[in-house]
Amino acid sequence: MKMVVLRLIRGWAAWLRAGNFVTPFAVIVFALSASWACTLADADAPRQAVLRVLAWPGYADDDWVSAFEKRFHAKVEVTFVDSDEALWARMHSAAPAPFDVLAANTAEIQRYARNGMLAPLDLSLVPNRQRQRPYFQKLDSIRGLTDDGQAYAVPFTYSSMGLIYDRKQIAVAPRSMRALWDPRYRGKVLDFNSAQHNFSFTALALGYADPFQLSAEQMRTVARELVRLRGNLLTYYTLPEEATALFVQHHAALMFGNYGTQQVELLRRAGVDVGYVIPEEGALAWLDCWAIAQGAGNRELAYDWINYMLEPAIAAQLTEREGLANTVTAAPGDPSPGGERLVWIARVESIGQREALWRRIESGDRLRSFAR
Amino acid sequence: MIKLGLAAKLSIVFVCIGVAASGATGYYAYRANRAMLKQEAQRSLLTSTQLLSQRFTAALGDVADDVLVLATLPSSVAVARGKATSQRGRERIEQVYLRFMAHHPEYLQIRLITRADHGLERIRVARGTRGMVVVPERALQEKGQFPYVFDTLATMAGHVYFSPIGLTPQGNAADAGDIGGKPAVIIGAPIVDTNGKKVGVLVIDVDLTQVFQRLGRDLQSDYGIYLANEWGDFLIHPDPRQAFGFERGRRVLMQASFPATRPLFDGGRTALTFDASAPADPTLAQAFAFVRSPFGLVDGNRYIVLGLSRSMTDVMASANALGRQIVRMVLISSLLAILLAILFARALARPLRALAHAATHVFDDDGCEGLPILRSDEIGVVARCFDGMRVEIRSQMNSLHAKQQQLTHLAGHDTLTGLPNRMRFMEQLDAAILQASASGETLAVIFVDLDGFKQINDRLGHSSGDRTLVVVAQRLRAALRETDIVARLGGDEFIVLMDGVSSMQELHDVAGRVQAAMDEPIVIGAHRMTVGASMGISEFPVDGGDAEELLGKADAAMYAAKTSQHRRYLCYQELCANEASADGGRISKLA
Repeated sequence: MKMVVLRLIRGWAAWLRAGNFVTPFAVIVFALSASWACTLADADAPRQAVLRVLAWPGYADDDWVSAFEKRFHAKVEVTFVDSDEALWARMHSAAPAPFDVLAANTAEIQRYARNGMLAPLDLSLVPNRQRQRPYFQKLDSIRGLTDDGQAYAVPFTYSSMGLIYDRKQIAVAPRSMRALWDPRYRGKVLDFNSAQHNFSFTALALGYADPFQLSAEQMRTVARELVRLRGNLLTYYTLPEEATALFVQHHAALMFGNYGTQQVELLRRAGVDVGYVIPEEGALAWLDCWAIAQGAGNRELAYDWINYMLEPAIAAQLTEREGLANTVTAAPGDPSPGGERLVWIARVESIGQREALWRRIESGDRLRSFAR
Repeated sequence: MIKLGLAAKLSIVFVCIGVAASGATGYYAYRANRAMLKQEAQRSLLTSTQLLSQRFTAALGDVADDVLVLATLPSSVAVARGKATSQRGRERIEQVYLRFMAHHPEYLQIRLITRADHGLERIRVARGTRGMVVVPERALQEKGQFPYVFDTLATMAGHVYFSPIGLTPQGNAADAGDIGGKPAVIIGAPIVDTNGKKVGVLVIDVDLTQVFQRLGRDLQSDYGIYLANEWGDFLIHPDPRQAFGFERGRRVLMQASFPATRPLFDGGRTALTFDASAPADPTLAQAFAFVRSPFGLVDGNRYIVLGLSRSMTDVMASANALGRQIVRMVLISSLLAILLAILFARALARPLRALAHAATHVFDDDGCEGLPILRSDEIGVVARCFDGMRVEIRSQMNSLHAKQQQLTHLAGHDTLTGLPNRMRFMEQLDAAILQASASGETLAVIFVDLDGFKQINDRLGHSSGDRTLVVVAQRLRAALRETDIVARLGGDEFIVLMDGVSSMQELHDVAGRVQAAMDEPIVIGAHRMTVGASMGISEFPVDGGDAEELLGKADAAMYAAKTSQHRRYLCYQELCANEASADGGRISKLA
């Protein structure tokens, strides 16, 4: 056995003598130098600019990020959140917030700005704003984006919460959300299961000036209206797919479209001939905007990111991929290209009160138990 | 490099084979056992899961039966219609509901809901923190917006509606108690009046955790129960945070947590098992079994996926115990293999060594001891062949030796007289000189030349001459000491070598004896013949240092004696003395 080992060693030695060792040797040297180079590159990495982005799924797709990285020789770290609460938690996970840019809706922007967590923007550093539709360039006309004459966010994408109706059952497009209460459609109406938006759109339908700040009396009226609406409903929905299924299965006629055009698209794909209207009293809408965090490490790059997000190509892809309206190109199906009849959601007077009431309404408390 | 003997090499090979064989057997036994145990555990787990699934279906069927029974209670229609006259019937129904609730701890609520008044509840008996309560009329709610009302109303009479599994709502009413946030299914049946009109529904909310607790009572405590709806959303999960993720806006899907379950949702399979690490602790191996089973009777394509997990630690513990046993057995059998290999190798090597020994000691008489010639196997054949060969070689060598001795004798002796020949004598003389010069002894060489031999040869023939030479040789031998060497130089010349000659007198005595022996007549046939001899004597060391010189001087002295009238023998010393004192002619006088 020893003999075999010796023979092996001899063979190996012969192989070495034959000069074959040059190749593995070269490979080892190459590998070592490569790893050394990698180490150097790693050591170099912190010097490369890093942009920390806090955004919603669909707002920072991989291909956009890599194109940005290539163009600006920077590294982008994207963190996704799926709710306003998660966004708030992320922004408060460290002080200063460990992010440079963030996307949030107008109500949240207002909250962050008031808390001093956002940096005032120098709008001249976002030249692509010129490409935006005029409405979205007038920041002071959009509640929550400016404070004390300072702009804090640039609009990016929005979605309205209009009225979806079955064109087969309703020949003439409804003009108001009041149509939901129409006894002709009893048992054929779908509503979204949420405290805040139901109160707000009912307040709008009732013609209240500020649907987000209801007086006690207005609140009572709206609650009773919502109980009445419940009597006209088939049921409440939560997810857009669920709404589509209910709409198809129970031949619904009307629906409060919490997910707006996304939902219209789903229904059309399901073969329902639906129409989408923004009521005359106006429709609730959320508008997500980009803002720069107060403690941003690299503001220049943050401005570059916001400017990049307003490029027509990105805007088009956002609409195509997510079904969301962008602020650059006029959406063809959007009945409100100027956004005039859209009421950007804002912080409400009392979430707790609305939710407590909503729980009672949703679970079926009778009208008589609600105070006039 | 150490040279390993055949026995050592064979031992090593046998040990390697033995250890490898037992090791491999042990390893594969261990693997096979492990796999078998795993399979068995999975199989039994699958059986448990299927059983659990069947029991679950049966349990829901029992609830459905209860629902149908309660929906057809005589007073139900009247109560559903909300007739004021039905107060007594209503109380009776409440008592029945309470009894059912008491018997079924998993029933959260039993409700009678009218079709009218937006689905207003007529009777609600609920389980709360303070036990079962009949909810007062003022707290009753309108439920028409819930699928369990409008879908049950759409169900045919005598049939049952199953809601999707959901969480019970977080109660805001005082009577809701702690029933909020539990996985529950609502089972309902329409209440039909005598005209076949559906006037309301009867629904029971069933707490699934209770159901599974009851069904899983005979399961060991380390079993984990998983339940997912047809989209894979976890409804029951050992980690409650993973269940009903969609209620909190974050879906947790079974297909994502356990990718192996995907075929269940693709419709490819209805049951499967697999091993994976526990979701909570990646180091903990667990066996999983998942079963897809139909759920609800409304439309046949709804289903749930039910799964069980159990820790493999205890299963693997027995496998590992066996593994340790196997390791011990392998060690023991390896030791045995080593022992047997050594014994076997030795048994094989011993006859070979005996053969080798016999080969190297082929001329020793005891060389063939231990040669295994009696064995009946191949080694015995080899040994017998070898033994035959050895005997043959020995006899051949013996005869060769004899011939060689003969040849050696012939080369050194005269064939006629048997005396050493000249060559042999010269060798002996050289050896004697060497010895004598070392010990300081003296030697004497007597050259004997027969006088009358030529006449005998001529007169009586060569054979008589030969016989004469034989007799002369015998007499010479007889006249001399045993230690003296007598040789025939050729023809009628003989020579004698004596050692240890102490005096001249002794030399003369010997010469006299030889002369007397030579002078004695020899009888050849009818003839008596007298041969007679002349002798010359040379001595070592006085007359010369080497054999040729001594021989030459003895020859010279013999020649002088032959030519002398008076003397029959002469010493070379005497010859020299005469030549020194007078001229050569005076020698004979002096003698």
